[in-house]
Amino acid sequence: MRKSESRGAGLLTPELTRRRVLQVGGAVVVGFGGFGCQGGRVQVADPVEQTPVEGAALFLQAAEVSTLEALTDVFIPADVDAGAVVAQCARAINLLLSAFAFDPPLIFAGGPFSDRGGAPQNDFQEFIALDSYEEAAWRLKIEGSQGRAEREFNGPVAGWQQTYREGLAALDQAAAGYGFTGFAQMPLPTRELLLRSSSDAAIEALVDVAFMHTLDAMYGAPEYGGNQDLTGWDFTGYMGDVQPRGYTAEEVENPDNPGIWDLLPLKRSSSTAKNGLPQAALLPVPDVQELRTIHSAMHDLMLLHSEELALGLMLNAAGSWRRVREQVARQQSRAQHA
Amino acid sequence: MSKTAIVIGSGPAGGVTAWALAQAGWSVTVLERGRNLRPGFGEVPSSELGTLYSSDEIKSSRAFGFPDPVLEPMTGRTQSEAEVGTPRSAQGSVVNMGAAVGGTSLHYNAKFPRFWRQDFTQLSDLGPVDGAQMADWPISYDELAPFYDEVEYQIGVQGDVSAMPDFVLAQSPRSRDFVMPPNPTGYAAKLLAEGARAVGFNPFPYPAAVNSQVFDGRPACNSCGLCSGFGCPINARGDSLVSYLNPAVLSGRVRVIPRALAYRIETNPAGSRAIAVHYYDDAHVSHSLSADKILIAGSPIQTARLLLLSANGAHPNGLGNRSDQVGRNLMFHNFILGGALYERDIQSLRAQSTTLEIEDLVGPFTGPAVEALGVPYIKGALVQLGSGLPLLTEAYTYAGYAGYGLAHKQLMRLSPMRSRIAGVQMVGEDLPQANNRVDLDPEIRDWHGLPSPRVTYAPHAHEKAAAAYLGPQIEAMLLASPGAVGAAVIPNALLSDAAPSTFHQAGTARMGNDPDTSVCDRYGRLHEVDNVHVMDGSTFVTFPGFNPTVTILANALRISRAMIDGTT
Repeated sequence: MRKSESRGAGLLTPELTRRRVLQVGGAVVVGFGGFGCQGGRVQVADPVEQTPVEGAALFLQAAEVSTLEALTDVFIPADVDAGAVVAQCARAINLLLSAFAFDPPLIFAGGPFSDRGGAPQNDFQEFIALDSYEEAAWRLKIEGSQGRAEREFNGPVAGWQQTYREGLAALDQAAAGYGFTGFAQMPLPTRELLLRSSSDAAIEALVDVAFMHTLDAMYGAPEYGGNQDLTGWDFTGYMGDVQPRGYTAEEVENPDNPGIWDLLPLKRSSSTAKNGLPQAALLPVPDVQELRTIHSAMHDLMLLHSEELALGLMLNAAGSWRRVREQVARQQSRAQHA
Repeated sequence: MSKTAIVIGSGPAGGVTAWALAQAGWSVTVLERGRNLRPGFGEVPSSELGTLYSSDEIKSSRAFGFPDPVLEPMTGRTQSEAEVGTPRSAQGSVVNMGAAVGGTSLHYNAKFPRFWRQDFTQLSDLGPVDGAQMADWPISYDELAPFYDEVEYQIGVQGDVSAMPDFVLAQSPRSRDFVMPPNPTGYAAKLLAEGARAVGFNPFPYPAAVNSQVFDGRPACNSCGLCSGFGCPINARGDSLVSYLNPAVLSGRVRVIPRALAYRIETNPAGSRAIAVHYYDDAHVSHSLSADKILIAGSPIQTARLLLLSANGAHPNGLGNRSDQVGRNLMFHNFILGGALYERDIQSLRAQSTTLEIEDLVGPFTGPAVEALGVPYIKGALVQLGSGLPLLTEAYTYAGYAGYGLAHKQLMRLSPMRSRIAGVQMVGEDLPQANNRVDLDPEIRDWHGLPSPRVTYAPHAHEKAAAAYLGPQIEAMLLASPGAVGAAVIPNALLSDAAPSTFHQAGTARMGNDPDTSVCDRYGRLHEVDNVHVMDGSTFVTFPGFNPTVTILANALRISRAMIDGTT
């Protein structure tokens, strides 16, 4: 049965809930609602809730989190499947913005295994201690250069904290212009309309980073605070991290759901090569609506269909949707021209 | 008497060099700009090493194991942008290789095809090409072959000689079999292989430095599918660290200094001999070291950058750059991407990635159709069969087309690039050009204040012709795959002049016998500096269409042995 989505009040407040302190390798980790089993995959129901170091707090305040949650809801809305709200993407983003309120900072989850692929413990929960290079890199991204000379070797850098604070405020202000008390109070269609029609620089800057961060939170590992109940992996049918179990030779070589191609003797050998029209082309093509959709978009989709080039896209994006679009557009315009 | 060496860079070239020299009793210091990501490194056998890697895509999106794009930006532009004076059109990661102890090999795909015999004599065999700096290699396949063998056995390469076509074995002859049999073949690759056979191609298991059985105390791969871009969480992949550096450090004759960015090689006043390497630690403190040999293995872009940063009175245009070839002839592989669309889930991620390949499109191809494309010949490449994208990578890609909202979510639900489209890539040969180059960006700096490397690039007419000529053959193969209901081929070189975001990189310090047209001699030694050698893919004269790591390893081992026996 599919989960229905609701935007529960207080779900994403900075006050951490359901705390249970565990001691893992000297680092205090909080969380664990319990274990469940879904589709044969053992999962931790609430695998990450970490405690800030003493005196530190999460960056976004409750009202800001509420606005952010409403924004992530536009990016990945609920339909027949739950979306970014149930996945708690806003919480994950707040944890990223507050990464240095934790020790170790919440930048890189540990390794090598979660407990979803058969390992007895979840190594992802113990985040990796940063060295001074990584700390400099991530403070610069999150906090910005703040006028400090050692951070401005290529000029001032606006940090994500500032981008979110100003952008979320601008969203609420824009909502007020439409007679709402805040962005979160606007119905989803009007929120989307506001975003798509806005030329406010603070809102554009926010959307640029928040969309990418929402994707990370929705489709990445749940230990970062998003993808709760494996929302992002379930509706996509993604198995997630499967180590150390991996796959057997039989699972690798054979399809889970054999089709006509596997059941009929269509296997070719080199002796049948170069005999004109390929046999498969003579057989009826299944009339599946979604296939038409994919096929119509296939050339566009294929532009970066390489693990390596797509990784390059991700690295070059550096958390910016604009940078993703620019890379794709560069290929796309030439493709249309060609 | 024991000799000393400083190796700059700990990727495959640096790792095998340190290992080989240590075996011969040398004392070696390795400078690596990245950090160590394998707990226990230098303390326990490779079979017992931990790892900070995992099947975690957020680490990929956050550049884990890569240089930070803000602290160490690279810049880029096309040749046409350079002609009108555009200083740069890209800044950030651009084409950055990995940075960690072990280099990019920590998260590579570990595909280990050998170059072909014909690749070493391309100018002699096929003649010049307008606009390309074609040249023969100063070495032959036969000189490299014993080192290919040795590398394959040290690192542990899987494959199946009996399945390799005769024309492949004729061009890359082998004196012994692979160390172990191939991994199970992924279902997506099997479907594509059927298509390949239908159009007369000869698919076979892709040689890979991945354990299909326990090797060197490390376990067999379990086909989790998250290979390229991921560190192996179960330690089943051979790489610079587990196969070379860690044993070398355990020998007691090698030390590795992480977070050490070499920024200048100092020479004597005459410039004939290097006397020190200067490097910054991660507190921006400068240090220097001296040794008998200075061995550069920073990967092509960083190696060129270091040579250019080392300009001095005796070498005003960069160390060893009297020929003005340092940084030039930068080559990537110009991918042709393709995919076949299927009605149902083809499980592309459920296998060691791209378990099969074909080498039927390596070429060279000649004839009227080729001449009509304006080039004297076309060389293609191997084609890897059966890839798919992991989920978050897929999400980023769709974000570039569909934006946010329900359209993006619907694409994620369909997941075509993960579950419906079986991908292929031809790793197309890129001809060397003088204007495809690395230089120092005039404005952009890294966090130490050093000039960033700047890449200027455009594909040659050859690469565009190859895409036009070979693309349809790949599409025919895809459509012939059983169950395929559609196919698309994306000839990358026709679409963009930007440098391909690939980790296959070569050139920038080419080997040659003529000091006027090359940077290094046949042993990677700078023509003008006695004790400085380039060990990595920078030395490649051309860039044949095969994954380069096994050749980088074999060549570095060849040069190391020549140093050990005093030949150079």
